[in-house]
Amino acid sequence: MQLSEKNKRLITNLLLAFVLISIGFALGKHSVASKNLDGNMVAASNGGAISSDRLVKIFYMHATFRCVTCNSIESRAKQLVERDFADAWASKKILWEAVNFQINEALAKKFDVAASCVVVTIVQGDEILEFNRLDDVWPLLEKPAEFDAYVSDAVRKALAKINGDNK
Amino acid sequence: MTWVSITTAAWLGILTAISPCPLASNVAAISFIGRQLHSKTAILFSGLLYTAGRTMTYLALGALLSSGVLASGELSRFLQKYLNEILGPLLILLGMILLGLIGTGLSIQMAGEGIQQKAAKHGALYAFPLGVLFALSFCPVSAGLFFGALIPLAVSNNSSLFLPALYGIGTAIPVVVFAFLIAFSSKWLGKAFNSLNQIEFYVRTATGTIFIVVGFYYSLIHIYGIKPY
Repeated sequence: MQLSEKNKRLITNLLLAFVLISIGFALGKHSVASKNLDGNMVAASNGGAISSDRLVKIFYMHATFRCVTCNSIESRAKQLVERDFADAWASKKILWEAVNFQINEALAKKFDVAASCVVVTIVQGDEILEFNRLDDVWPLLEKPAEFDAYVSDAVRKALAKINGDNK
Repeated sequence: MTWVSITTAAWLGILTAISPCPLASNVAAISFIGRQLHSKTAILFSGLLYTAGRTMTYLALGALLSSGVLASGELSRFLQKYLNEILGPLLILLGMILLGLIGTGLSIQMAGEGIQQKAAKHGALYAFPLGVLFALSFCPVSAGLFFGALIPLAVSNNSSLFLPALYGIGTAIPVVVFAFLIAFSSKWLGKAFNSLNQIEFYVRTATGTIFIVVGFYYSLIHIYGIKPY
């Protein structure tokens, strides 16, 4: 089936218009984003749980485009923490926050994030005292038992540190 | 270096290729490589060049990252942020060239020959830059597996070239195999119904259309932030 010259021109113009608008939109988006960069975004942002105690805060760092695999890493890790550390979770000794590392560039730089990952941190107020970036969630994704042990171990170590410090 | 690290690097590449997140670009690559039904050699050459493009890219990135010239996090974030945004409009333009919507007029002729004629005549050569482009367009899974798993593996094995190259080959193999299967089944169909020219026309049109559709998909997700699900 051949298109008539008129239809061909119409489709061409529509596609070129979409391309130009998209390029303009992308440029505009980046120029607005660079003006709005907030230096305070590196703060732990405890979501209202203001405490002078040290807490374990787990960040799930993700890109704007969230793929199926990334969502399964997030839900698997979160369910694991909620289940295996139920007491600490209920008493808000462990906090969880999902952060878009393409928006919060300050936090992405602090953690040196290269891809979506889980970061276990120790926070006090809105200050991040130390962090452990769990890059191996990717190669361990196919090995659920090792994935669980890897994440649990990092959370357990962080909890042990704050329990020792808070006594 | 052990066999475990060698097979792990290749497996990480295959895992990247078969995961759902680079599916759209893989479909575009499959249609591009497999579109030259008239010649097995052209498909083979195209597939090899696509593989070479991907492999060279990962090899170069691996060397730069392992030697400390570039920082893993900064590079990954830069590529994930900008490359995927460039890819959408670029694929639409490439699709338009493949369909002959642009590139045939005098205004954009290069060396006296339209872009589309060049693409048709030297089509296989374009598989190399396509491989480079798709390798650089990291999606979350490929970024996680390359920067989070492959680079640490390469560093710990002191192999900044070999393991990233194996990873690159691993990412291209499923694409090339599918391109061959689709090309030969289309050719068989064309021969069976005695209409190879007709099938070739449909395959060429489908390739351009797939590029445009994938370009829209990338633009909507990465530029306009529309969630696919």
